[in-house]
Amino acid sequence: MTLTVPALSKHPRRSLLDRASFVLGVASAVGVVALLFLGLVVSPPAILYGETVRLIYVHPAVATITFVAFGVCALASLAYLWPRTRSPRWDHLAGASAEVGVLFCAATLVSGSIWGRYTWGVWWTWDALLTLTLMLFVVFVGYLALRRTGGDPVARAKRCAVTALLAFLLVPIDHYSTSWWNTLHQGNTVLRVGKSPLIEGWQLATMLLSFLVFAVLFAWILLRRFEVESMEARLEDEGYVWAIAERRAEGR
Amino acid sequence: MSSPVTAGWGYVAGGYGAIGALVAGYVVSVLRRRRSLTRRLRPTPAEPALDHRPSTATVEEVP
Repeated sequence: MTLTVPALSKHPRRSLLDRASFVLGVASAVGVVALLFLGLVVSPPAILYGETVRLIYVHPAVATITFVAFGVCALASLAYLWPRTRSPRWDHLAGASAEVGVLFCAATLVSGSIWGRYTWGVWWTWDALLTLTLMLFVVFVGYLALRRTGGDPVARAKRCAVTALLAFLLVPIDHYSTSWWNTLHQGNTVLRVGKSPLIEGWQLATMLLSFLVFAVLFAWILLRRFEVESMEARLEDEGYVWAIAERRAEGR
Repeated sequence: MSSPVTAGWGYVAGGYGAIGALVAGYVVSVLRRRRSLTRRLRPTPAEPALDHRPSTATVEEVP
């Protein structure tokens, strides 16, 4: 008897996703070069911080993208939990965004620590904002570990979606901690209610560019990571199909 | 002893270098995983279906 096995998926064609990814990749590369030029060459040093003011062109943008990434993870988790929009794609997007968010959170902690050493004289202090950011990092690393657990994929996806929504509650607390408590960390530099930004000229332009560049870079990495997540799920599914078909053939 | 200006550039290099290394390392790992998965998901056209019919090959008797 001949074993009939469902055909494997065809090799993924060049799709809209691929083209968008290519455009975002090129835009990210150009943006990073422009940001390095403006941040390290064009922008002048500051009176108070000297050359270290150049860290302001990476650290705040990376921290903001961390929040955006965890926000995308929470929204995708909500879409997965909502019965009308439930699709494995939302689960894949949540997982991909959380992993990229953890990367940016690590970059935030490291760059913030270096800046803290210069401005405060210490690499680390148990300040409200710093501690909450570290908690955010640890909680989302835990979320990624939860995604690796075995069992029924649907139950696992639901469990992870609920966890992501709970973990996201830390984000607004982290963001507003500089307003709610007395912290060493400074408040907003650009978006200040009823007040003008603390920087101007090339410094302001470079800082605004940094937000745009890191947003595009995040979108590109997220798209690539989402592809990987989807392909891993397909491989897992097709592995099951082959295994079941082989077991059935053995039983005949 | 380094001047404050030189020290400032050291912190800048540390900050930019750390972020660059983290992001670049991650991007390379994602692209490598993607390439590997694309290869694994590509169907092999010459792969025959498994055949479980009884074999017609003769077996020599063991004395």
